[in-house]
Amino acid sequence: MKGQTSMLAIVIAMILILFIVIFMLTGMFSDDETANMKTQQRDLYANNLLLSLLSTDTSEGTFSDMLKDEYFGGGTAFGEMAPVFIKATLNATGNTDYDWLIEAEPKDFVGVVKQWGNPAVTEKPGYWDARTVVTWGGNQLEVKLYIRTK
Amino acid sequence: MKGQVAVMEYLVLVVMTMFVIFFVVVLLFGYQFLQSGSERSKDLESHSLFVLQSMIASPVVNNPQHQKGSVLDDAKLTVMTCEDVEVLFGHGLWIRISSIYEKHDCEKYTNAIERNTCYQENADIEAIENRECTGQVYPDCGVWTFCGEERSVRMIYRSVPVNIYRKMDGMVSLATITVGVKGGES
Repeated sequence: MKGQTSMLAIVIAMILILFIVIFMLTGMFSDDETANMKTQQRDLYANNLLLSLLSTDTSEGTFSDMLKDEYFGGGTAFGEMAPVFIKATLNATGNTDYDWLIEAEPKDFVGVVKQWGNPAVTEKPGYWDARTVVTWGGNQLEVKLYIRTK
Repeated sequence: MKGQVAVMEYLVLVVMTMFVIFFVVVLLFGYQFLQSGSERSKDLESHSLFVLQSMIASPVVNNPQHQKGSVLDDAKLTVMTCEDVEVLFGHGLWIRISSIYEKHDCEKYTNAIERNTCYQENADIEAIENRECTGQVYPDCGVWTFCGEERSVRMIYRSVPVNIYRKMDGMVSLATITVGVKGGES
């Protein structure tokens, strides 16, 4: 009888452990799915923010033109106007706790990396990014946007 | 004494078995309950993302000059109705597109009259930016809303930046699109 009780106790304990393991595994998979959706949304947001900003027309031309001008030392409009528009966009989409950084560097020749925004955004992992290439003449400037929560 | 111990062991075994059965039943029901709630929530999340992606890529609302998408045509948006949205993207949706206009930097003016004029101009721009677009006020407007937002219903919202092509002056402005998906009674 004592042996039977012990056997049954072991079987019951095994059933319990099995259930707990199954629960933990299903929980992990469902978290995976949610994380995947979150990544998709973040990528869409960052890509659209960068591409929409660069395509926007202002009294000084498009942001893409202003960025090229500022990169080559001809102007200051991008650095003055981009933060205003980015802040307004983040506020309008309810993302007031986002911090951002824009980087530009030549794609086909070695040149300096110019930054606008908060350089601390890329100092720690946990940021997400979008990139595009601005072309003019035969040259290409790679523009990256980094976002993270404050 | 030996008989009592055997009975005790038997009782402990019965209690343990009952406890395990109870635990498993509670676990299963609880799991089912949580699972159905989280599945529904995930479905809504993924549906709202799908509607958002479809809307910003749809040729029905995009400007044909911008092949990459995410450049919505203001004239198309102005003539579009809630019924059109429901035919294209399904029922239970609320969509709002809001323009972000460039405003003047009034602080650069030292002269009070110039600064006040600048503030007045900014106020006029803001009024246009927040005006709902209809055939009567177009193109002096910056907001398009499709279908009603129901406060009594739980909704899941998603927003992304987009561009609006302003057909009358051929300019591309910055905007945001917000899609709300109705999830059921709150």
